[in-house]
Amino acid sequence: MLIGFLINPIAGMGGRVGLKGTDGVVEEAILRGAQPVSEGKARQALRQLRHALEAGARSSDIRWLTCSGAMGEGALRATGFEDIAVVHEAVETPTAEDTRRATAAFVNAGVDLIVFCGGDGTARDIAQIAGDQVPIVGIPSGVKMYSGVYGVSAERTGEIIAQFVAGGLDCPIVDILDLDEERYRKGEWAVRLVDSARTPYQPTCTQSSKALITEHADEAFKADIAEYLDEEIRSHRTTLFVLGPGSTVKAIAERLGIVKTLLGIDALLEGAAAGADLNENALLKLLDIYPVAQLILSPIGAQGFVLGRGNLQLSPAVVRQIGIDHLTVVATPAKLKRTPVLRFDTGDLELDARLADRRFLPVITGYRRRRLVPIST
Amino acid sequence: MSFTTHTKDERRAMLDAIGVASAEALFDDIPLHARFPDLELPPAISDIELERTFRRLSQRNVTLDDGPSFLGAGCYRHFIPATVDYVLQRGEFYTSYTPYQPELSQGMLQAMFEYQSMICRLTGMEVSNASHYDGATSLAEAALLALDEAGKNRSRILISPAVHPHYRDVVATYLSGTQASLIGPEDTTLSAADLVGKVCEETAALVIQTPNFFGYLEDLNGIAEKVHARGALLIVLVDPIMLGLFQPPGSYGADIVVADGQSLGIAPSFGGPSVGIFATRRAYIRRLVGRLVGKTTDVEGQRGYVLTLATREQHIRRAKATSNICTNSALGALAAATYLATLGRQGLRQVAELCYHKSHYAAVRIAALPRCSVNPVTPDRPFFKEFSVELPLPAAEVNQALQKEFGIIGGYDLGRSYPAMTNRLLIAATEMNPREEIDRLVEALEQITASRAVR
Amino acid sequence: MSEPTLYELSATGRKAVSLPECDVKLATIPEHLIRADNGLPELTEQQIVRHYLRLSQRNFGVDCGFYPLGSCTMKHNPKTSEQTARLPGFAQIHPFQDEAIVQGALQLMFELQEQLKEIGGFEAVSLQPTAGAQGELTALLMIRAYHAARGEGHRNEILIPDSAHGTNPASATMAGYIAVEVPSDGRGNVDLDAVRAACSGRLAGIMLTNPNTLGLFEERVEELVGLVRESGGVVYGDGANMNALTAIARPGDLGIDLMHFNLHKTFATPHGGGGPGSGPLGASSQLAPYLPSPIVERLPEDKKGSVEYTLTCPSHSIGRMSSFHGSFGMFVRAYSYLRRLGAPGLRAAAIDAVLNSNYLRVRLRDDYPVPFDRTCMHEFVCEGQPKGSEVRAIDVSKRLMDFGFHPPTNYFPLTVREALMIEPTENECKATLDAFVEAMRAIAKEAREEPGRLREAPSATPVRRLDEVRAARELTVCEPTLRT
Repeated sequence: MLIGFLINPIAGMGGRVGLKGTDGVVEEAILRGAQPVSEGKARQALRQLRHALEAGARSSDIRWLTCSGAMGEGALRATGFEDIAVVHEAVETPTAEDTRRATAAFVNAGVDLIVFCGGDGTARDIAQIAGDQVPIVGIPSGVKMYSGVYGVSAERTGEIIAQFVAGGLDCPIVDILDLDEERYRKGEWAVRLVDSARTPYQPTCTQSSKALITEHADEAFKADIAEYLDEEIRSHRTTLFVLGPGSTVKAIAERLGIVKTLLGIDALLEGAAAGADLNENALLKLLDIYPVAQLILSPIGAQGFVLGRGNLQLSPAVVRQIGIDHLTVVATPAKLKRTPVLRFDTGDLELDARLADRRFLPVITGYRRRRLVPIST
Repeated sequence: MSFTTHTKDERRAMLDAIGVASAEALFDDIPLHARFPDLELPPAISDIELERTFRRLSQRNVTLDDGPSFLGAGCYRHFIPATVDYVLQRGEFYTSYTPYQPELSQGMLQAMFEYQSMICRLTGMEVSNASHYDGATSLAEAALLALDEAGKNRSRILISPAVHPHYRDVVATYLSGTQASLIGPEDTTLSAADLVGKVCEETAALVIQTPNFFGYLEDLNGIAEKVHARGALLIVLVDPIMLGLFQPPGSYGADIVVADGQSLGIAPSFGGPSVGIFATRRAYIRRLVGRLVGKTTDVEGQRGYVLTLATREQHIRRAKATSNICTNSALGALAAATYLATLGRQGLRQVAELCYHKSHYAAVRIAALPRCSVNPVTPDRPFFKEFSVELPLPAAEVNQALQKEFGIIGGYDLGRSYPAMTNRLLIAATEMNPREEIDRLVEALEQITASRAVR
Repeated sequence: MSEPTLYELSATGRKAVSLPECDVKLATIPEHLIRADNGLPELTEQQIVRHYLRLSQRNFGVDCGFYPLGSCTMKHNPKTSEQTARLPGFAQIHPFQDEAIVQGALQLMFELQEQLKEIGGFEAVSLQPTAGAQGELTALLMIRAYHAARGEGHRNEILIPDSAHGTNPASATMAGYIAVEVPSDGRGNVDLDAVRAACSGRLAGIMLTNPNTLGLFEERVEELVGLVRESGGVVYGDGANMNALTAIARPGDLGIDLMHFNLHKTFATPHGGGGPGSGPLGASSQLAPYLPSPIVERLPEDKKGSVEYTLTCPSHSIGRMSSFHGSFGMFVRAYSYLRRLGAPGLRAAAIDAVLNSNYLRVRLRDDYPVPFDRTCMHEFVCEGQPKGSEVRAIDVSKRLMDFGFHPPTNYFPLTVREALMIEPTENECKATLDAFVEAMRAIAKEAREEPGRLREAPSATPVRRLDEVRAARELTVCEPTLRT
């Protein structure tokens, strides 16, 4: 098995010194006394991987492609891996461009998996090159990690890699999110959905009967949600369905046989596309013609924004026009696990208050399944 | 009687460790008005009284061993070899739980794997689960699988009217929560070939029982092809004993085979517990609900067994139907496995032959009685183990006379399930009925019908 | 060393039974219907006995040792119950025998119904369901029929707390309902604000496990029940955890409309390696007419002839749930248990079940954090990652096997990370509990000092950790066919 491995040596450095990210502020971080953290995290994960490979009585047959020195080779050698080829020479202070070049070299060599150590910035740079083709998995080491590609800890990520090597994991598509760090450092939440990628999914432990750990892939839950909403959409022929961004909502459109933009707002009528990548004006025009409408959205993972992040086209006017009782929220159980509360920030305080007034929102999590999730007030 | 284990001192030490004054204080969360109710239950009895009470109660029942019995209709008296109870009484098996921890459950897991293997061969199918509750619930699960497989536009299960009436009831109850429906004509003489003509674009599956409730062996050659050509699945409900001798459903293209496994080493026990057999094609392995045991190895390369494809159990994606299966009937499956291993290749065939010959002997003799006719509508259809007799008076009366005057437990009064058949009796004969018992039944029927026949 | 399979032991021509020669005239068997080979193995009786004896030695039951599998109530299965169930008068009777000649069986069923009614505080009980999960489904189908009969068939939402058994949402979907998961609050109770938010004209009912799967009694159960009932919903209680409440509190008194009993948990019938179970269902007066049929009725003095107990169908019954009358063999065992204990014995058992569980909770919590650390009922949930260690609950479980204990339930409920759910039952004596505590503490120490030992455990079992991924990938689920 061929695995591409890279470390973003500066990832996570901003966090300890209160910088909320390290993009473009490496020098300042170092000045403030930040120490590299990612090499250590990477070693933890790799040690766990070695351990799991040995415990599983499987001979380690991983061939590594990596970058020189602190961008990968060092950690691999330090943890006892030997079959290593360096495909990218790292500079002392690598940039996003180094990540992208290394990824391109991995993809060209036909790797089965890309393992990286970093945060959302690194994930974004890799996903941009790897697309939906090569699965990626992140050893969590960044300041912010909202994307769905990380293990819950460095050690657990090592286990995921081991299971992937053993052939036991599916690779569903997940969202890649990133903060606008410039705004974030000013204390503003500004997470955006930037891309999607495949990742080996170590299933969350879902409960089957009683004593069993059972697993269910995220992708399967998306399919369940899609199947359920497919029925709902088909049984409301005259309703205009407005579909928000993200892969969960996209899966619904795909089930209906419709191509949906990942990041845009699209509309459906009578099971057919009625508009793609709509802006506020276009939405308001459509709603004039089709006043009976339903809005389908998925919250942004972890921080839980349903409205006001990544879907500004859905302005207060649009939401009022659709009606706050015509809001359908969907999310996979794994996403909800990371998302304890839902938030509304439309910029219209009165509207936000009305949306939050119900205190709990039923979120569709599967076929005829919902979960009541508290709304932040 | 209380079976407390702790001494007074131990109890005190435990309460102190917890930090409460009394054990009663542990229940403070319960609303006061509902706490510690006075229950009106009969007083506890000693073990000696218990033995006596239960023996007496049990003696108020006439057992199938007390005299000749010809009752079948889905629950049969067959020979149970001594090995079965020997195995069932092993505490390591019957006091264990579902084998979630495989390292401590290899015995049960291997036994289930062997059960699955024998059921596959017996039915001619590729996959068997580790059992359902009983035959009726196996059939209901088969219907749900077919609905799942068939997709949205096919929401009907077409069922032969000659399928066991209780099974039809159970399937109907199971489907009452779904948008699917159970349909079937009322004419019990329709053959499988007649029913195939009713399979349409809304049908998810056709359900046929063979031998059917009346004992007839259905001619199923070529049926599966026709059902498949119309886009539906063929579900076949069988008597597992028959499979010792006759062609298995796998050989004529069945998609799902279900059966009640009570005949395989389980006492009738007033109808339960039993074990539900469920086998299907490999193509449906991920839609199969219930436990499934797979072979694997441990970290040292030793052979071992685990529950596999656990994901299917309750997260199985089903639009119109789902399954909540948690337990199976592991102990019943263990009994069936021990039975099949003990009877073996020749033994099961021999039991099937004995059932065939004895039921035919009884049928021929009863048919010769002046006022009785056997399998009256279609006398030439082949049957197995059971047949029906048209009497000149209500079957209920005949059964009563058989019991009271001759000490014989008669057949099943078909009028209980089919109002037009009040004079018809369903009679089963197995390897447990020596010729002499059958002769006694024939004589008794002759006398009863001669003396009480209505004009 | 592994045990060969039946097929590996088989050789052509071996026999283990002797069957009679056919004593009647042979009939003609249609040639084309006969199969050449039925595919069964051929062994001697001794081979079979040794095979299953060896298999039994590779299995662990309550009879072998401590089995604190939470939520499963692995209590002792009295041998008297096994004896009574094997009496010919119970084992050798047919479900279609004339009622007049099975009065003993019907009386037993009737009296079991009566006792369960009294214990649960219900108007009626049906013994039909053959397992707990089937009891759940039955209850939901009854709720459906109940609302439909009142012209409220549009009610289509069932509330299910997030700590519920996994079977609950599956049963709800199976009954055509939308399952709405309700979060727990900071004390491990159902979040009442969430329930309030969910109460509407679409609410069909709630599935409530009380004590819940954290082993905690719902502190505001009556308020919760009131909310659901006021908005027209039905309250179904999952009786899986009844072992804490038998003769302590009656669910019917707390406002529960429907509840299934698990005879294989609360009333000591064996689990049988995963069944057969039995899940009788109790109902309040409003729901009783919808119970599955049949139920046993006692005829009044003036109407009884040769028949005193008779099978009847409730007026609005949803129908039948199993082939015949339910798991009768289990009724005999459960009824033996009830007669042996009586009300004081049942209460003493529940008290000791709760005492034992609280004792283990306080003795283990320093090493294994208990997230909702308040008085528990018959079971409790702790984190299976010992303080100061990196091992997982599964590693602790596997290591426990080397100490001769069956592990607790792992990773359930999902609301607790690395959950271990421990249910000691009332049968275990203090010495056993203390030995278990010592083992758990030793494992916690190992987890901190030499975690590798845990990750490699078990080593004292017939097989080591098994490759489940391989099993799922290869899917070898039966022996390869030898002959065609």
